[in-house]
Amino acid sequence: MDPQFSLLTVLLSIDFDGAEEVVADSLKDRVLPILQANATAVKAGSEGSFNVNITGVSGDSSSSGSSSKDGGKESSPSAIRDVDKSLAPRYMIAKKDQDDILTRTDPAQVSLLWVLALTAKFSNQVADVSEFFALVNRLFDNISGAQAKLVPEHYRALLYIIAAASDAIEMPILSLRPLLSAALSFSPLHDMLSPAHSLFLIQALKAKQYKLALQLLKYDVDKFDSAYGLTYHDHLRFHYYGAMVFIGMKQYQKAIEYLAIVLCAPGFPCSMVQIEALKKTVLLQLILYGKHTLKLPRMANDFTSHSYRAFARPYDHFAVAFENGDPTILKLVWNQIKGIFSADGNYGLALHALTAFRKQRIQKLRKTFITVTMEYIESKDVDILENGPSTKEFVLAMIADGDLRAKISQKSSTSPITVIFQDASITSSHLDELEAKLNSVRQLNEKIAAADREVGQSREFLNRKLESASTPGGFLGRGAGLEDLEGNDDSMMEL
Amino acid sequence: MSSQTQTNTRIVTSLPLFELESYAQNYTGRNAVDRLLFIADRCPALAVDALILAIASLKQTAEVSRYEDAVERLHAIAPHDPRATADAGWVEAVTKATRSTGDKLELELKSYKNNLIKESIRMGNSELGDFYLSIGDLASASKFYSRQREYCTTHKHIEDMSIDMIRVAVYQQNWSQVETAMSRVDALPSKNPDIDPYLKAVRGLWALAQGNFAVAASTFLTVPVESLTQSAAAAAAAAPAASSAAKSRHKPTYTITEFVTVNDVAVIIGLCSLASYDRNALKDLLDNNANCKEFLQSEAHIRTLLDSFVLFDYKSIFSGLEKHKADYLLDIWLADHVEKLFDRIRENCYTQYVRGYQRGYLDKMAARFGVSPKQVEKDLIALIESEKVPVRLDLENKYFLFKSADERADVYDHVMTIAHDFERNGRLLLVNIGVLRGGLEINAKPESSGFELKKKALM
Repeated sequence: MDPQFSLLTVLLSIDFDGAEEVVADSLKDRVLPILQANATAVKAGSEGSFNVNITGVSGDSSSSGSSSKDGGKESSPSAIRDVDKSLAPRYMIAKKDQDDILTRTDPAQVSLLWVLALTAKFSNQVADVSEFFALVNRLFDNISGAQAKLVPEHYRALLYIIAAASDAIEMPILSLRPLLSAALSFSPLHDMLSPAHSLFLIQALKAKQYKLALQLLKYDVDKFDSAYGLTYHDHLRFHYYGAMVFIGMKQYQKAIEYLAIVLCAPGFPCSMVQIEALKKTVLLQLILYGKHTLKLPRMANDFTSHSYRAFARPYDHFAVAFENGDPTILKLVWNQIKGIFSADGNYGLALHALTAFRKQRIQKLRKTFITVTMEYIESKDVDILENGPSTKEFVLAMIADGDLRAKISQKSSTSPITVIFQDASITSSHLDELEAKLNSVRQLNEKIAAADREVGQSREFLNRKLESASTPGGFLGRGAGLEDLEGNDDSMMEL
Repeated sequence: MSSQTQTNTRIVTSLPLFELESYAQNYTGRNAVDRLLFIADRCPALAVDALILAIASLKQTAEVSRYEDAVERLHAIAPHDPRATADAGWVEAVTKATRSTGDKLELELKSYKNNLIKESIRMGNSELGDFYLSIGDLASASKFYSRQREYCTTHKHIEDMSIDMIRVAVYQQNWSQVETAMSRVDALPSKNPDIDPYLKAVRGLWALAQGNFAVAASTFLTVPVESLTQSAAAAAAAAPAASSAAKSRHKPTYTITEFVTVNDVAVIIGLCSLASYDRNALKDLLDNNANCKEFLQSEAHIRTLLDSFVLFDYKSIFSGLEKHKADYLLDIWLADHVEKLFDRIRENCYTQYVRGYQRGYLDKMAARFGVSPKQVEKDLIALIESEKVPVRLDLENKYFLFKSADERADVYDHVMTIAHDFERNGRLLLVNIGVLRGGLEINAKPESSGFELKKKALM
């Protein structure tokens, strides 16, 4: 046993029975410094000494039945309910020590031990839910993200246990508080994806707590590391569910932005999440802009865009009918494919699209008219589902919601009602908005420049650069070849 | 062709302004017959006269089957007319003569083929093409003309063959074939300058058939007026020669007048330019284009129409067009486009009118155009919705307002859109850099977790 380790043992009065228990080196290396740093505080906080046994357990035996084969069913959160067994704890704390830690130490000081203890105690089953959530909340209200990151397997497992426990009693709302703290404590600027991110959003969607979800979504995530047990699933799901939250909050612009991130996720082949994202994107674009282009952002790869076309065909039909603007055709298409919408879970969004169609038809009138009679609007207005409000009520609602800049007037109580469209004008609030936008663009620019520098200095990039320089077909090699050619030309000219 | 046009027949009830007999005299050869049969198709009032004239012309040719058709049709509408019975003697004689000529030509071609003399085979095919054209079998004529292709050895041969094929294709109104043949001639390094006006006129007809009125007008404007006026006389003289081409095997000359007369071209130019040119372009045309001026001399009413347009006298344009509508509808080339042309001309007039106003009243506009205010309202709405005129309507006070361009608002919107796009793409870029650096790209094995990936990377 190395001297440092024994010193720690003394300080903490933690007795590792070295002869029988195998402590993995990697854990030792990672856990030690943190424990050491907090040692005194722990000692002061604890009443008397206690023993902790950390046992090394082979993680392979439990990882054989690895789950997450839900590639095709991203939209149903139930798939997430199974705890990812491949992440089952590799290091266990002996049962007798678990309660010692949980009762006698401060989670803010030794978050790491708490994570280990909680995982060990509840990994098989959560018997007493209220006790579990009391402990979990105590931990996560004070958690040190830096410590938790040191044992990502346990941390992740614990998060899944939380989600599963709340699902088991059908109260997903219980899991929101710990999961949100978990996600927010993961990095100081909240810009790094944690295992808690997508989990939190799923639970928030289940609990319909969209406002709470925005607490997390107000921070854009652009740092990722697979070292914390994250896969592309976490990344895609986080952004996909984020988009769903934004849809729930009717922030369609933001939703499209998040879906674009999903659509442009690098890699091969294309994930079902991406296809679901495309379907939602089609409907959102129709709602927002009244038209849809299947052209993906430049960053999406070709293979992905081909797969999209194959999978989202009904949506494309709907979009074409929508853009075409003929209500009878749209109605026909709608009746044909509304079953697909509900099967995909996009029925609500598609209904919104139909309302948007009605709105856009009325909004389009402002291009043609300055004033128009309500009668004329009625003649143009089409309610595809035939169960919406009357034209007059609909127009009034649009004006009230700010969807139509117009006023309604009537010369006398018997004369026809006219709608007067009003022009947009620039006010000071517009200028403030502009200023804010400029600022955010500036910040983004700096971020991109920083990322560029970072990539430029990274080992991978430099290696690549060196490789291409040494191979004759590479970029630099070709440049040299060109120079040679030019030299020859010059000499020829001289001749 | 008559059978083709029958399928989309639109009956013209009002009588045209022209007098049928003198009208027919303007045209020669096949086109004259085509036009007469076309009129017989479209205009029941003139059908009998047209058919009688057509039968008389057909008897000058060797086109037996068309002659019999025409007689049959005449019999159907005027059974008691003495001219409604076929001249059996003539039919028999001509059939016999053509059959022997055809057999002889085919035999000759066969022997050429056996001897493998390229030039003779080409000539043989060409002669057979001419022969079938003379008896009115366009499909066979086209077939034999096209067979020359592999035996052509000089540019001149290709040119001749293409021109032959163009002529047949125009008669058939097979515009895709016209296009291929024309592009073949265009690809030649040099060509006979004499056929240039002919090709231009055909190109103009082609553009008209595609409904591309701007191109039709500009193409016909490049056709020199002399090529129509001079050759008309020459063609009239050559007409008997052409009709007996089958017997004499004399190659007919290429004249534009076999499709259009100078008057037709003037009408086409006039209508097409009214439909597609703006006022300045039209004014420039009238003032500075000598060729155009000459064309318009032959059709005074078109000149008046164009002048009215330049002088903003829209009412007389519409009345003038309506007056001549029957004429246009009975023109073989214009007929199918008249409605579209009229619509376009109306649109063009509205656009010109509206352009002059910041705020204009619908009742005044209606008076200017000689239509009801309701009609103007309807037309304007349609035009605005198809984004052809930049105005907005006030239906309450019945006026239109030129679109007020709030440039500040536009710039604001533009800037915000750019900023938004930049932000979105920048974010996308950052996320993707992060994903790639963090090793979170999508991979083919969905089961593998991040831990295993990292382990593999370390090994």
